[in-house]
Amino acid sequence: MAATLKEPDNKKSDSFDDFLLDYKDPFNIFRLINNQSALEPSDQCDSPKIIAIQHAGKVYFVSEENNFQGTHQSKYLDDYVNKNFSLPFSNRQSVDRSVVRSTCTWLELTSKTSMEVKSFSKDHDTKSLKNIRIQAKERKIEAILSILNPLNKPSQEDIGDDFIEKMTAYTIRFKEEFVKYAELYSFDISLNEAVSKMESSLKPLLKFAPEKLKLEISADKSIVYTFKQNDFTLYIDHYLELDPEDDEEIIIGAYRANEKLRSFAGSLTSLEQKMKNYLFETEGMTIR
Amino acid sequence: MIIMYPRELLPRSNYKLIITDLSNYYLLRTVTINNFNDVWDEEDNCLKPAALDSKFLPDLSTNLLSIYNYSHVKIHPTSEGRRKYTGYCDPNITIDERDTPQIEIDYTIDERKHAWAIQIDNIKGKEVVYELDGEPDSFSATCTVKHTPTRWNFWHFSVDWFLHGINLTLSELESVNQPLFNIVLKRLKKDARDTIIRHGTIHPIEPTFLDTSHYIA
Repeated sequence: MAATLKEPDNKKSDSFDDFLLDYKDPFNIFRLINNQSALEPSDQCDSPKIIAIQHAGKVYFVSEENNFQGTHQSKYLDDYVNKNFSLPFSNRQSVDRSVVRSTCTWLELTSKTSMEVKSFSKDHDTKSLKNIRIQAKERKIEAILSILNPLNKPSQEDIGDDFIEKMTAYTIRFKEEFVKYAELYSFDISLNEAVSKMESSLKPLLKFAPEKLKLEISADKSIVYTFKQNDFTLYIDHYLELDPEDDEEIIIGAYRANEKLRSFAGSLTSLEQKMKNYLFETEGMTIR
Repeated sequence: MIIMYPRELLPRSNYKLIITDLSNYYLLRTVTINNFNDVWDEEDNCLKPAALDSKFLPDLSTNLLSIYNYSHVKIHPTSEGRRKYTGYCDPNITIDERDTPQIEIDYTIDERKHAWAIQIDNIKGKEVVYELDGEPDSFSATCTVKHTPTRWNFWHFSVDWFLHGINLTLSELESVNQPLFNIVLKRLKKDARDTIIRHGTIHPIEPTFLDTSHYIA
């Protein structure tokens, strides 16, 4: 689909690649907002939400309210930046509202440590209004990047980058562990059944492109994953053997740096959602 | 090599329960090691899950590292020794010379036994809040560390959990509500394991001097 100024149609695309996003034409951003390719990185911002979009190796943050109509369209972006990024004080000043009047404004992530506030006027003139330097070790931006563009993340595993290669390598590792402890821990489950279980929990975890993912087996007959990303460490137990009446269960213990977060116990199907909660909605998982 | 049972481990008539703050001290937990790499991750500098057996909770048995030290972890109770000496007791009981544990009868020396250590501050008072199946704050518990002398080891400490709302420790819950105990136990074992993996070390820690005012009445 070429970038045009037509009103967005309601057709849902099957894949993100069906869209061609020319960042000089941010009108298309708003078509993308309505598509599932968009990710909401935070619910901390007052409504309307800021949405992160990845395209062509770049990440954009736009506001649903950024609708070319009013004079306050940069407010939410400013709020979002101030709430979510520990910017140097000098960069906390607002974008000049008069400049952005009657334009669309958005944030463009230009690297892991910098963003630009850009605006687009009705005469298609794109201006860079301000450069924003993101301080090092910015958790949220790193986390968003890892989800939106996992290939940007350096892998600290010896295991290769490719998903299938990783699955294969972890499966080999798991089989070794299983055989090693099968007698000591008296497993009732067969190796093949155990591998099948392992795959069902490993796949969702790999989607989050962890910096490090360790797989071990405990005496409680659980697969213990140690998942590290930025300053988050999640210890995820997937139990291999359950009572007949029990559902497939995972338990997550979580830390942000040295802060203990709420633990979670629930079904395997909730694993992916809980990972998002921990990594992107951490405030809701803190112990108050 | 220990042949005579170390008398410095036994309770004495002038001893008292230790209730003072020992946050900076370490607890030792014995672990049988066939291969060092089975329990210690050299790359990440942390314990592995295999450092804990499946029955370590409720009431995680540990020993205060000070007068009790790494040489003592090799003492392994026989079934007879376990029966006679591992029960809890008052801190000031007197063990007569003739009642002192005897090697081969009450204990053996197991050279495969080592210990991991964890600083009390890293576990005592730590709170766990659980969300179960989408229900936030389903239960919460606080880790406790309590001096629990046994007949052959005055320096024995128990790690347990106080369950908020129920107002019982995990150990107490077992006899009160077995189904609930089973549910809670599984979660707290997992959390305890996470904490121990995170903060425990297999590398020997220098014993800390313990002033007599802590334990002499």
